[in-house]
Amino acid sequence: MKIRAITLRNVRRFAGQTARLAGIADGITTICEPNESGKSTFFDALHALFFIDHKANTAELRALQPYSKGAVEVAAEVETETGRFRIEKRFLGSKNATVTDLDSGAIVAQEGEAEAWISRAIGADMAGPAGLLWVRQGMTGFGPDGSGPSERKERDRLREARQSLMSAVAGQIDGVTGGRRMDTIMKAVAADLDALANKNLSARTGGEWGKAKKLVEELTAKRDQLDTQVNALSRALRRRSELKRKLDDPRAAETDAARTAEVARLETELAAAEQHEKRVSDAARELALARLTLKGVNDRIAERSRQAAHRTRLADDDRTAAARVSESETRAASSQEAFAIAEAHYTAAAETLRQARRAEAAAARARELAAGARRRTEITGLLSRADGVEADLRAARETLRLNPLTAAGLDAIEACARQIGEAEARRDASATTLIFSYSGAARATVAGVEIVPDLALPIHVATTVKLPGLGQVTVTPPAGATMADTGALQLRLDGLLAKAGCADLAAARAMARANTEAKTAETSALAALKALVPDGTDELRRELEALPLEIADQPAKGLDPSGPSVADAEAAEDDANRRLQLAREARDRDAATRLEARTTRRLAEDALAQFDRDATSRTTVEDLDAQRSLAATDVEKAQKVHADLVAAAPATDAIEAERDRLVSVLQASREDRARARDELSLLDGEIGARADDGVEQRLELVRGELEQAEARAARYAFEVETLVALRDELEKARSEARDAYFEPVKRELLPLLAMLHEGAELEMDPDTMLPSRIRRGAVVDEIDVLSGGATEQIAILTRLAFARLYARQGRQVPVILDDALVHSDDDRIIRMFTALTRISRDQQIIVFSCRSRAFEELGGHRPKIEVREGSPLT
Amino acid sequence: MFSFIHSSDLHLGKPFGRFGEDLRVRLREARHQKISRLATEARRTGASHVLLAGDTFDAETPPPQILRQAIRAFAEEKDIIWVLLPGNHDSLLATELWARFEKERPENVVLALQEGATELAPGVELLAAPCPVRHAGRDLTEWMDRAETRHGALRLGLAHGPIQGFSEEDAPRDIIAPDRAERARLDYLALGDWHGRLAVSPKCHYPGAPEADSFKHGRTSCALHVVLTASGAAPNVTEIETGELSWIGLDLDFRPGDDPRKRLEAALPAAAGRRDTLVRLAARGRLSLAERASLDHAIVDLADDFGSFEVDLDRLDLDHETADLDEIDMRGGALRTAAARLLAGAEDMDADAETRRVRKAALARLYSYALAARG
Repeated sequence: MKIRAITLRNVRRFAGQTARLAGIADGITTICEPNESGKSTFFDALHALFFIDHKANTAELRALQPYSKGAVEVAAEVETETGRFRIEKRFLGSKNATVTDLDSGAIVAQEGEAEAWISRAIGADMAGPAGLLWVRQGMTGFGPDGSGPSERKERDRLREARQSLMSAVAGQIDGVTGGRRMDTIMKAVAADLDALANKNLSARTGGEWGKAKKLVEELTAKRDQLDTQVNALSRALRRRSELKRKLDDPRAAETDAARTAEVARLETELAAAEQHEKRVSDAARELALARLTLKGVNDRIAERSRQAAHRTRLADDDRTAAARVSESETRAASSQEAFAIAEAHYTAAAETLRQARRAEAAAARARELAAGARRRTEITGLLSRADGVEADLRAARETLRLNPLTAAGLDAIEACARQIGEAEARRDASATTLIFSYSGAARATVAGVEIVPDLALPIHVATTVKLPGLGQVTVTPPAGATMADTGALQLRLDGLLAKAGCADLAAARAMARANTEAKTAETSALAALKALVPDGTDELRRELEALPLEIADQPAKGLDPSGPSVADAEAAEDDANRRLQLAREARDRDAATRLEARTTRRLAEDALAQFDRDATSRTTVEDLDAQRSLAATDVEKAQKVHADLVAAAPATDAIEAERDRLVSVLQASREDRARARDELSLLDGEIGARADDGVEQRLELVRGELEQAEARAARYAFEVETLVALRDELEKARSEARDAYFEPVKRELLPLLAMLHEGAELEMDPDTMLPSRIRRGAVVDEIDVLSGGATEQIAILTRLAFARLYARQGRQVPVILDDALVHSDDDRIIRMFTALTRISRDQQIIVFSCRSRAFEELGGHRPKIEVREGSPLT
Repeated sequence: MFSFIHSSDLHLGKPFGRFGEDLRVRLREARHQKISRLATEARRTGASHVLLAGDTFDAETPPPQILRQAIRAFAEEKDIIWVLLPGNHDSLLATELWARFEKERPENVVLALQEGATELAPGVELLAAPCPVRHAGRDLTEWMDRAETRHGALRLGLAHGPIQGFSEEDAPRDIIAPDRAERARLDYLALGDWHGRLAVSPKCHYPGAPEADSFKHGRTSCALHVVLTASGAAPNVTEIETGELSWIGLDLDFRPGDDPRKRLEAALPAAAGRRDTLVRLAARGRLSLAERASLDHAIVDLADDFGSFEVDLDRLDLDHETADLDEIDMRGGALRTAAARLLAGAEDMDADAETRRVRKAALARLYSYALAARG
């Protein structure tokens, strides 16, 4: 279907007018009119003509009415494969629809039939290609924006239109891509897969597969541990069996018994060998004895020669000893005599020394007594003077005791007295005073005392003055002027005086003076005493009592004052003593020599006598020679016997070595068995413990559990593998289906798109049935984020592609653009014009625009809107 | 005549760690209860002895309370003589176990700890072959061929080990000669180790564990009542059911068009016994996505009825049906594309098995999501 002319009557700005647009060509028809010239009115009226029932009363129709209201009439002359027709509709008043064959002038259809005819002409199943192919003013994208119900409804309608078209071309999309069923299945696959595995297809922690794998790991570790224990147990059981066999093996016992018997036999042999060895030893001993006997005889022969020489030496010794005895005795007698003389001399010298010492002692005593007498006199004098000073001291201290008031105490008293005076002066100065001047004889009295005339009488307390003949006056001093200060001070003064024991101030001053003087006297007395008796009189008195009272100058009785001095006597005594010692030493030495000589003589005599006595029992030389011959023969015999025995001796070392070897083997065998028993005991314990633990059964149990767990984990792994295979296959199939589904529109769209974006690819959204992303080289952009111009251009190209699809369906529907391409720049708009021109070769395109200069480049037919007043449509 | 109960592999104290705590306790307790159950059966059948052919205990060193409680339980059944043989799990190497047992051994318990023949009862010689270690590396019954017993006495062999390579832990050298009973002129060879019931020969039997412990042995657990009438005569062997909990291994082969829920419910026991039943479902074959979803829902609905319900759907492949993909997305859109790609990946034989498994699971998951999304 192609539109050739459009006529409107009483539509919007054409109130009461007829507007006509004729001369619409096959290809591009461009209607360039200024704003408010009614281009959009034509667009909307044409939409109503084709898609709104003439009986309807919709807002869209009412929007076509002019302010003056009234019926709206729209007509279009169209050309279809069957001819040229005029479609007319009157809306909102005297509603009517008519289709007239322009060639014959016959009405083809009216009312409902006319609507049906129109629907067929534009393709009833296309559900509004106008929305799909016609672009209203201001709609720069793929559909109306906004979220209102009408926009949503329009979007849905457009989507359905696209889907309808695509389905007509490539089949139902749900049928192609699987639709919601595919979505449901893929969601189920994803959910099942997600429950088991992570994105990287590893087992999900906490998922059934993850739990199964974890259990497998745990059980494997447990199985390995138990396996180790069971292997150890098995080894222990085998080892114990081996050990028991070994210990119970009768052959081992038999071997040990044979070895024991052999050891016994060797022991017997060894005993015999030892006996033989003993005999050899005895023979050796006999040989040694014979040799010893021979040696003894030889020794005795030699001894005999030595004894003869010895007898000679003994006789010589005896003689020498006798001579020494005689000589020593002579010398001893001489030295004894010299000692006696020296002893007498020493006794005399000692007596002389004693006398000299007695005389010297007596003289010393006399000197001591004289010194004592002198000291006594001195001490007596000191004590006498000291007694006088002590009397003065006592007197001074008595004075102090009676006059205790010190200068400081007196100062306090005097200070108090001064304060009293000062207080009284202050009191009097501030006190009320009375001065009486008498004119007569009468005299005023206070407390009976007459008041002196013209003399100020201070009043310190309430005072009653008697006025003879008049009465009395009581004067009261002002408050505050009291006697309190002086009273207190007076009381303190009285207290101080009382404490000092003085009646008044004068007495106090006298006492203080006496006190000072007494202190001076006391100090003087103490200084004198210290000078006289620094250590006190008691010490002097004790010294005095200790002094001797004997009279000196009395010579000692029996002493010779003219005798030698003690020093001389001591020298003589020392000399005598030294001589005595020398004499004693000589005497003792000579006595010792004499004793030694005597002893030597006696020994020599004894030895000689003894030798001579022994000589009688000694063997003769002949006997000794005979003995030596006999002993030599014995030695020869013994040597032979010993040699024979040595030659016949058995191999004791070899027997011992063999015995030792066997004993060692037996010992090793016994130790080996002991070790085996020990090991057996340990194994019993180990096996018992493991048996109590039931490790074999636990291992079997764990193996079974592991088998189950592994099978379970394998099932989950297989399930994951299955789900992944299924997911991949579904995704691949759906992707391919979508590609195939959109292939027709992409085939139409891409050449157009290439005019704007060379090499660009588009991805279609299966939900909106519209391009969703554009790929230019490596850059992929969402359509939504492109500029307004680019979006507008792609939207128009998409419409053109859909229009081409309609055309290929054999359903020619014009593309109508109302003020489109408002956002396109100069370069792009030219390219878009080229695209439109290319499409227009087999597609009618009607373009309304107010931009006459910009659209000059579009070319095409350019009819004008004709407006006539009140003319009918036809 | 000599009559006895033959059992083995009680595995007292087995922990069953791969199950939940409640079930573990029940499984362990069921084992312990077998002592009184065997005693009851012995009295009922007139048997004087119960022979336990090894692995009475699960470990060489069971926990003390397990051992003590077992001893008390054996002692409680004082009119029954119990013969315990060390097996590979409780071999003679478990010296601690047997020393402790010996120390507290009740009078009515015989511990066959020595290899050799002893008189078990008048006219009955027991030829016991205790396991010396977990893996002896030799046929422990070989000596029985040469073992001398009194003339006319019944020769009763008691051993633990495999007769072929079917044991859980055996090695070829440990294998007991299957014809040992004949070679050693035994009147009966009571074996343990194999947890399922197996009659090796008329005179050689495995009773299996009296209480099952795995899905390996499909049959009901039992003990054997054995009557030996005379030396050289064939024994009379009767199975006695002893199992308390059932272990059911379901191997279901699904085909497109199956109703998985119905098939599963049909294969499972009645509701009354489900609490005492442990189930391992191994599904294979192919199911459409819808059928697979139905199976998944059925499993979820039924699993909690049972003591345990293990599921292995790895070998269950998806059957490509347009209707399944239509359930996901019939308009040929992206969902359909994804589903188709997952399906292609699941069936891409150039991809490794794990990748195919993941794609298959993803497709099943997509189907479930699509159903849920459809509401």
